[in-house]
Amino acid sequence: MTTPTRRHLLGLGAAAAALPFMPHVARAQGSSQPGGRIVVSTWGGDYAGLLGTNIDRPIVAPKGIEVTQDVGTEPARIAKLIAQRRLPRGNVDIMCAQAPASYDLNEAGLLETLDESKVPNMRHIVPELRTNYALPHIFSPQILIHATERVQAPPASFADLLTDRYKGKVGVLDSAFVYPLMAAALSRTGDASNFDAAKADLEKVIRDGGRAFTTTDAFGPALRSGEVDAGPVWQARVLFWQKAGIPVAATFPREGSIAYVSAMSVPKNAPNKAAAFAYLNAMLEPAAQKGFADSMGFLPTNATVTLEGDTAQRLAFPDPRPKIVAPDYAKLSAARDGLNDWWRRLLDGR
Amino acid sequence: MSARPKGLTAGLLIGPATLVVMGALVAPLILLARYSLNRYDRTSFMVEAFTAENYLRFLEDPFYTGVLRVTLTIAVVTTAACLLLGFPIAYRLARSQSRWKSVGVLLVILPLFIGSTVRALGWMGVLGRGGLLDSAVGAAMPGTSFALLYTPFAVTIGILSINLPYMILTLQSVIEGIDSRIEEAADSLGADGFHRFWHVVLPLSLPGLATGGVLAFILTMNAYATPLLLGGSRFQMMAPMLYREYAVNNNWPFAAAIAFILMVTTLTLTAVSSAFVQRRYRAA
Repeated sequence: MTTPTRRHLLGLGAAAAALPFMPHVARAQGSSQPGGRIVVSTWGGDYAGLLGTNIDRPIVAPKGIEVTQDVGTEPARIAKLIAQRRLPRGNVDIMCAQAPASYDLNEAGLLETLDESKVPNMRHIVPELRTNYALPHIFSPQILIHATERVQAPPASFADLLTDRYKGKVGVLDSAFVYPLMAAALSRTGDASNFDAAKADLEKVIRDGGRAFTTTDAFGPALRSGEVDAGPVWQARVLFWQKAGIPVAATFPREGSIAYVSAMSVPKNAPNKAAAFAYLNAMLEPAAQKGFADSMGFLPTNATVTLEGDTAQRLAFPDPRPKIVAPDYAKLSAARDGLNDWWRRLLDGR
Repeated sequence: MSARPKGLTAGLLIGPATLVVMGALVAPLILLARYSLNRYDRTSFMVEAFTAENYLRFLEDPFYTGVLRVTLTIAVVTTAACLLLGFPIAYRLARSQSRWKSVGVLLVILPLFIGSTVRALGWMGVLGRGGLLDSAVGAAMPGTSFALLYTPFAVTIGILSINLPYMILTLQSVIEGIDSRIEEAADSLGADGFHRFWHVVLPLSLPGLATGGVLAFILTMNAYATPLLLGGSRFQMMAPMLYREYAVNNNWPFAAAIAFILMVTTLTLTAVSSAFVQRRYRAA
């Protein structure tokens, strides 16, 4: 029997220490066949629930992919992603974020470049919404809602909200103020990114006594109570409030509708990329897309999806088809900090 | 038994608690202080730096100092209102011999069982458009609207309702500690109600007033849910602003600086007022 030398002992110790990392190494270098566990970083609530019922269980679970959700607010999840950017192996495989935030993450160099070899269903994506770093999952155009009991001539353009008829009776969402700002810019100049030209319009809305709601849920009751009569909101919200029995209707502004896009991306240091690509492909499947349209009133981002029955009727575009404008995320990103500051001061009135 | 140095025993007793406080309070504060000197960057989140720009941004901008001023004003007003409204109730409870006294104390404590968010939502139902108050005014004078929600008044009354129980309970325990025979002695020496209160009860209850006042002041300076829900988007106080910088804009360095400014302001004012009250108490 040989006596273990110091070198033997050190070698054994190193091997033992490396052991827990071996399966990952094996998996990372293994076949491209997706499988295993993935972590989906997402908002909570209905959205997370619907991911489970429309994507996780019916489509990806049969492929042997087990989904764990990391639920939180978008800024907190983004902070987490940025904080672990230097780790060779992060802990998020799919990042659900709004399109502007996804743009920022890509600019920071955190996102995997996507193409059709990785996600075959990418070829079906509505062209205006397509990028190669974050795939649009669902979208909703911003339209002009009005309370049917009090508004006889519905607003046909954002400019109509600035008339005396709506003085002090316009509502906007505090946290999503850039979207009404883009609507104002589109109406005034034909360019949704011309933020500076539109600031005066939003200043008028706010100084005339318009409401900025801190939560989306406060907007609906205010339309019912008469606190506000009209405002720009997502089509999905209009349908939600109609379902809740609030007497509201909406029109597509003639200058075009700004699209709200919720996207999914894959971080560069995602531990299970093959399965993450499979997940992206699954979320673009017609069945999954229809599920979100049925329950949340969001439009499919897969152009080949045909909605049916009641959902098709509720989400139908008027004729002629309204213009849908995707924001210029680069310009939005460059202006955002300044806009945030301007908006807070405007609300404060100081 | 060997004699152990006295200091060692004390050290052993204080040690564990000190370690917990160091770990759970002091260490994060040091980390926060370090963050407050970093620089914010949109894409890389936080850049290591050693700059005072976050503090200067706050102190040099009338917008931010204005928010601090509003917060201070609301804190002073609600604390004063708490003292004025709380003292008579606390005195009555403390001097009560009735068998209903415990019911009274329970009534004061009961609101503390409900979270501040839920209470704020209750106030929204009372003060909002179409709420209780608005409907009552509308019924009395048709065609008029009386909505107080999203005003500084709504925030003040919301915070007052939250802080009042703390004030009453603090004052009650202090007043109970004042020997009632002292008041009887004042009576027998010919003091009327006002003089008895002004020269005897009030000076003796100063420590209670100070503790209750500090408690109410600190709670208001840090109030988050009530100003957010009852003040709406146009009304700004420090805690909601701090939260927005930290959790919405992801600007941790600036949020850390705001946190320190809020903390230092609160601590300084608390220390100054406590020192002032203590001097008065000794003099009394």
